[in-house]
Amino acid sequence: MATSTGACAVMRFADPDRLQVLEDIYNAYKDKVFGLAWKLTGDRQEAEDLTHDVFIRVHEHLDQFEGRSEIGTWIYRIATNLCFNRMRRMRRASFVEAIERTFGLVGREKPHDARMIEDETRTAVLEAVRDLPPAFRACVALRDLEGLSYREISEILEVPEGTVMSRLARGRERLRQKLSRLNRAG
Amino acid sequence: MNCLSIRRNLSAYRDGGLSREARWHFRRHLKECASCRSELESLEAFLGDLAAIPAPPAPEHLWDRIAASVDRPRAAAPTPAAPVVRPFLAAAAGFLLMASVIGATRPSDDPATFNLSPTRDERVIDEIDYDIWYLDGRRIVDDEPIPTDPSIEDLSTEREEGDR
Repeated sequence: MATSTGACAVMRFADPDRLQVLEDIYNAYKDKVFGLAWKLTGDRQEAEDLTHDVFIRVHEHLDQFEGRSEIGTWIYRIATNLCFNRMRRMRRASFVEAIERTFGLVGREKPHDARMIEDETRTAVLEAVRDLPPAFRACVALRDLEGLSYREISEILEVPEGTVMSRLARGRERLRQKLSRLNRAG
Repeated sequence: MNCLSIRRNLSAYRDGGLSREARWHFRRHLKECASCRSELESLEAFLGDLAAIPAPPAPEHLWDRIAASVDRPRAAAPTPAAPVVRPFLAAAAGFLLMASVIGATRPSDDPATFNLSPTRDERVIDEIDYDIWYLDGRRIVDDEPIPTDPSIEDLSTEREEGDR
């Protein structure tokens, strides 16, 4: 997960030009952080606000980063925690509305072509992920949407790898069950 | 190893998260059981679909917004205005006091305090769930010799290198 840019940035974090250091880190991780926030919240504006907040925290706490984990792991930890705290406050109604707004489905008729069907499938999958209990959702999002390893997830969530493994198994199973129910209903 | 045990640990097997000997037992079972093989294929397809969901890139203007926030000095705390006692202010103060008491009991926004740690129940369930580590009442140890059977294809080898 660590990139050479990220590693360089950490080595230079005592650099007087902190903004330049932050920009290096931002360029290395902006799409990952924004993508994770978007997948977890379903809302571009929320994702933008969260990404903003993540990099402000990175800037404020960079001096406290001890380098015991990869900087990417540290950034993911901040991003995951901020996303979950924000989502906890989102009411269900506005959440569904946000998903529909993100995917442009408001007021849309039944899909007429493959692209629209694909969009709706994607919406259903992401919505099902967002419906998982937070502990499962975090594991599924980090592993199956972001492709992180068990070890990285264990460091980000500060839980043992065995817990990551079991949460993933249960989260995936719930997700599959929910999606197969939706398929049958559709 | 029976189908139930296989199904419960299929996800960990798929990610290369099991011991060498457990994997060997898995492969042997999968070679003989079409139903569990099909379950593994279905899991693979499902996870492939999940991984293929694209996310939009970060907006172009976002860096300017972050840089502006970093450059901007933190706003100084407002000086408290001279107290003006009015009846509705007393009611508002009461409301704010109540809100702050309720707010104090809610989870903090500080990432450092956000907790996804395993619960006590979860730790117990983890122990029960991971019976794959135990076969015939004995714990599987990673460096125990594994019976060789070259006819059993290792379905998880490629992932194991990169994943763990």
